[in-house]
This record gives sequence, structure tokens and C-alpha cells, in this order.
Amino acid sequence: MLKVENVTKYYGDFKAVDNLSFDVDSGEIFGLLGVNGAGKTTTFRMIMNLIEPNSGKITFNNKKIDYNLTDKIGFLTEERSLLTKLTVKEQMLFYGALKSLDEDTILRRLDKLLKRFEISEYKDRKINTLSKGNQQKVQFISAIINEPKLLILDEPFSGLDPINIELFKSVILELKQKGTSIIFSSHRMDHVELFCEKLVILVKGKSVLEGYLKDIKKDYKIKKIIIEGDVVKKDLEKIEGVISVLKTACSYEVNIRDESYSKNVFEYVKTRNNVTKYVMEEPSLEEIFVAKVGEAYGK
Amino acid sequence: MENKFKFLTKYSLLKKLKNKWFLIGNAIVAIIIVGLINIDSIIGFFGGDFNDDVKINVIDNTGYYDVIENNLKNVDKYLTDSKVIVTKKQDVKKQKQKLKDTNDILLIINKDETNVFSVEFVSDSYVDMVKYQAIYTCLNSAKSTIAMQNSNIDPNELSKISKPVDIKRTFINEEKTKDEEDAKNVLSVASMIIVLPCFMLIIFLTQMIGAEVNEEKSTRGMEIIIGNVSPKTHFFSKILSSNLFVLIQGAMLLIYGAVGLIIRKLTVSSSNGVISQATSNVNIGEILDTLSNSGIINKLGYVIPLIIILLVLSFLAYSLLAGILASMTTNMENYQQLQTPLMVISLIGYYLILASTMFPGAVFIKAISCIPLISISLAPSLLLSGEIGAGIVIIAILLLALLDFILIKYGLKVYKVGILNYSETNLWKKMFKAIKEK
Repeated sequence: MLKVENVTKYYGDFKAVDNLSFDVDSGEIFGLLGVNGAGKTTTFRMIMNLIEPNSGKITFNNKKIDYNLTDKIGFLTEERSLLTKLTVKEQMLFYGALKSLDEDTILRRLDKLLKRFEISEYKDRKINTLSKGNQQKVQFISAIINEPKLLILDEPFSGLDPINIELFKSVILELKQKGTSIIFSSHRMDHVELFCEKLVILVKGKSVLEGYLKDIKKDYKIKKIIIEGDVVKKDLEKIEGVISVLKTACSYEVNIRDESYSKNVFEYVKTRNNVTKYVMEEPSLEEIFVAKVGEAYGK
Repeated sequence: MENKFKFLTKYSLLKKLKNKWFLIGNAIVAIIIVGLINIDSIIGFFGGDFNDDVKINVIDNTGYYDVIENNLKNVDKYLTDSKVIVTKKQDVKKQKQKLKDTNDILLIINKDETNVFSVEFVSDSYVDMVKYQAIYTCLNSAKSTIAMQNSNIDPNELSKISKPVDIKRTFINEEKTKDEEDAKNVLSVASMIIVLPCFMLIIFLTQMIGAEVNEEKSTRGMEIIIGNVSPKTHFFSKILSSNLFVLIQGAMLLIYGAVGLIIRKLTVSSSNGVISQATSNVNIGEILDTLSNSGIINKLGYVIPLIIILLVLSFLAYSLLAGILASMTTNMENYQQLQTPLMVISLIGYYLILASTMFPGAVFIKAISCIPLISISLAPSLLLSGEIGAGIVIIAILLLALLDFILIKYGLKVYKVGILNYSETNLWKKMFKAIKEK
């Protein structure tokens, strides 16, 4: 289990991470969310032991993360971290050896992973000749070639088309099945929502929301009602408990303060004609994220 | 971690040695070195005006022809590879016509009451400066001889006048010998030649470390590497592999030099041609005999180890500095800017070697020879030429060891922070802060 306890990191006078705590169990996927500069990469770098926190501690299976443990960790950086003058094979032999793997094991696993990612033909190609998406695949393979117990993925879907995103998702879920603890960041909330059981939202290095996704959604009081029918936007806005009304192409999205106000909306809708849809939905993670980040910035 | 250190060192070294540009570069350097050592043979092989026979036709109106001919025959001593043919002629008009479209020279010697004789120098086209000066010198020599003969000086006296002075070299200090004096002169020249490859290797060393660190840094591959090995392991693997590479490269340069000398030896001894005679001036055997007789070879027992220690510690200092500077920069362009002062420092020594020949015994130059980074080129040269003793070299070694220690102790702290720093904002502040951290 990865345990981050009360970690704080300063760069000079700037507090990049502020008393952050979370834990990730084996076989669990954890989302570290936040806008740019929120402290996600700094947190990853501290987990990887690249930089020391000013206070707090980070442990994996109750041991401080040091160079005896990093062989069991996989790290995919947000920016490309490949030595682009090397071939795919040379790159894997290099990074694999840094994970204390022998050449046979690296090549065996590489063949398997290249096949899985459908890029076997690029094994002897120089990385700088590959497309952005294929470079991302190679980088991902380099992060998992050591079959890590802890996998850190900083924006793993960057530069990928929808088909390859699906491929990555399936591999990540396979790793989860095998018991790998996975921690990842993404700007795409739909991806996070699909994967993460647990998450933390960072704003200016500080956690503004944390916990299991289902609990977060349940505890988030603002609900959304979708209505299709002959309703009037101005009438909806006048109803008590309604925060906002958004008219989309063929429906209305009504945000209410909490579930108890749904009956007020329902009473109004009952009086209207041609109503074909009335559904109360939980808010999306993106909506929660925007609301929480907005709150933190005082918007 | 020890295995990872070995792996990184081996990886970095093999990466350089297996690089096709290393192989191509060395092939070119080998050809250039062998070629330079045998440059005179190569020039001679292709021929040119320089080895054409110099035909000097002389029309003598003075009666001094024999003396003039004898002196003109010495013209070839001043020329690289030409035979001089001096012929007496009569008809001025005819001889001038014969000069058309040739490189022949016609000298018309006329009586001159105030200057023994005067000469009209006739040629079809321009004559190169060396040839002209050689003829001019020989004619002056002939004039002196004639003038002395005309003064009724006894032939024995005349012979004495033209004979070079005999110098007997005597030393009050009985330990000093003429052979040692000659050997020191030979070695001071030789050390200047040895310094040039050292300078070249320093450039290799600093460039390689900078390029490697910057490549890993700019691709962010550094984050993955430092995520798996400590900055200390990474740093020392770079230092060790680069120094090993430089040693290998240095050995290869020596091999190229040896091959060049062997080829020179073979081509000179197997040929009796004029070029071979002209190029056999550098006789390695004679130089070695001089060194052997001088007793300097006996001193090499401690001189060579001192120089080797000085070289190793200097290369280490340069590589440590290069690694530290490379870690602070974010791209190769910035590194090259930072690396320039290092290059200038390494050149100071070379210029001071030249200055030391003009200012023998200069205290300033002796003092500078102790300064780390400069001592690599200056101290061995001064030691071999006898300007400084082993004591000063030992001081230079101690100062270098101190610099290396400081660079390892504090430089490593800078390296740890530098390699994961991608911003140039407050760069020096960050580095000084890193040094202060415990």
C-alpha cells in the first residue's frame, strides 16, 4: 500500500504541496486531480524519491521509498522521457536494466508488450521516427516492463486517439487485476471517472476533496435533473431550490441545491405538456471538479 | 546499486565507442596524424617546382668564376629537395633567349670597383623567395671570399676565418652535462607537442559529459534514470566512463603517432632518394641516445608517475566541473556558453609554455604551474625542461587533489539539484542553496 502522510513541499517560499495525505491499496486505481500547477507532478516526484518533502512521509508497504524499492515502481512522466536517438529495443534494454532486469527478461517482456500494443514492427526503429501516439505507447511500455507493484501515470492518455485510449485502459485494468497499485493524473475527468475508485482534488497544493468516487458523488448535494418537454426556462429558474438551468439542443439541465428540491421541479413539470423525459442524475466528476476548484479560487 | 553503476558506466562508454561517428572521426584523425608525420614524404611524392633541378647559368666577366661556382653549389643546402647545377656560359643574348619558358636562372657577373662584383639576376618569370635568398647568400659568401683573397690573406688564415667557432661547454656544477642540457631542450619541445593532444582530450571530455547530461535532461529521461539510480551513482558513472573514453582515445592517438613514425622510418630507410635524405633530420635513435646519455631517462622513473598522476587528477577535475556545469544548464547551447571559460583556462597553460621559453626562470610562470586546471599543460613541460623540480609538481598535485575533493563534496550537491532543475530562474541562488544544505 502506498501511503502519503501530511506531506508538504516548498520551492523557496512557494508552497507547492500543502499537508497532503492519501493512500492507495494494492489493486486500486487512485486519481490525483487538479488544474495545471496544482502540485500533482511535485507529488509524483516526491513519491518517486526524486525530491524530498519538507515534512511528512511517503511509504510503500510500510517502507520509505528509496532506491531499494524503485525497481518495483513504474513511472510514466507527463512529458516524453524517452532517449529519442535510441531504438525501441535499446531504450527498453536501458530502462529495463535500470530496473535490475536481465536482458532475456527485458526482451521477452518487450516482445509480449509490443504485440499487446500492436507496434511489434517498431522494435528496431529509432524512437524519434515514431508518431506521437506510438512514442506514448513505448513510454508506457517502459513504465510497465518491470511489472510494477506501484504504477505512477502522469497524464497517460496525452497524444492518444480514442482507439488507443481504449487499448491503454484495458492494459491499466489488467494491471489492476494483477494487484498493481495505480496512481494517475489526467485532465480528462471522463477517464478518471471510468477508472478511479478513489481520488483527491488538489488546488494550490492543498486537497479540497478526497475519498471514494461513489461517496463523493453521493455526498455532493447538488443534483441535476434532465427534462425533455414543453417547459419554460424562466419558469424553471423561479422554482425554489433551483440553482441554474441550461438549455441544450433537445433538453433542459436543471441544477438543484439538493435532492429534496426535486419535488418542486416535478410539481411544475407535471403541469406541462409533451414531457418525454424527467430524470434526476448524479453530477459528473467534471462538474464536481469545476465546482470545487471554482470554490477554492473564490469564483 | 553497484551493478547499476557498472551498467551505467559500461553503457555510457560503449555508447561512445560504438558510435559510428567515433569510428569515422578516428579513421579521419588517424589518417591526418599519419599524414602529418609523413607530410614531407607526401609532398615529395606528388612533386612540384620545389624538387626541380635549379639550373644556374653564369656569365662571368670578372675572372672569379671558380669561387662563385663553389659558393653557388651550396644553394641546395637552403632548398628542400632540389639539385643545383651551375654552368658557365658566354653569350648573353643567346642565353637570355634560352631562358624563355624555363625556370632557369642566368647570373651575369660584372666587375665593380666599389663592391668587388655586381650581379644581374635574369629569369623568365618570378623566382620564389627562398631560392632568391639562397642565391643571394651564396653570392655574398663568394664576395667575402674574393675580397679576403684580394687582401692577400694567407690561405690558412682564410680557412680559419671561414671555419665555425669551436665551443667547449663547461659546467661548474659537476652534476650537469651537455647531454642533459640538450635533452632538456629536446624534451621541452617534445612536451609542447604532447600538450596538444591533452588539450584535445580535455575538449572531448567536457563536450561528451555536457552532451550526455543535456540529452538525458532535455528529453526528461533524467527523471526515469534518477528515479532508479541515485544522482551520485549517475554522476560518477558519467565521470568514470568519460575518463575511460578519454584514456582509450589518448592511447589511440599514441598508436596513430607510432604508426606514423613507423611508416616514416620504413619509407626513409627503404629509399635513397633526396626526399628521404631531407626528411631523415628527425632521428629518433639519436634523440633517444641523447636522452639516455643525459641521465634524464633515469629520472623518468619518478617524472612519469608524477605526470600521470597530474594528468589523471586534472582530467578528473575537468570532468567533475563539466558534469556540474552540465547539470545546471537546460540545453547544449547554454552548456557551451558555460564551458567556454574552462576551455580558455586550459589554453592559458599552453600559452605560458611558449612564454616560458622567452622568460626562463620566471617566478610568475612557476607559480602559475601549481594552479589546478592550468598545471596539466604547464607543469609537465616545465618539469621536463628543468624549469621546475618535482617539489613544485607535487604541490600542483596536492592542490589538484584538494580541488577534486571540493568538487566532489560540493559539486555533487549542485548536481543533485541541477539535473532535475529545468528552470533558469534564480539558477545560481538555487545552486548556492544546494551547496549550503547538509
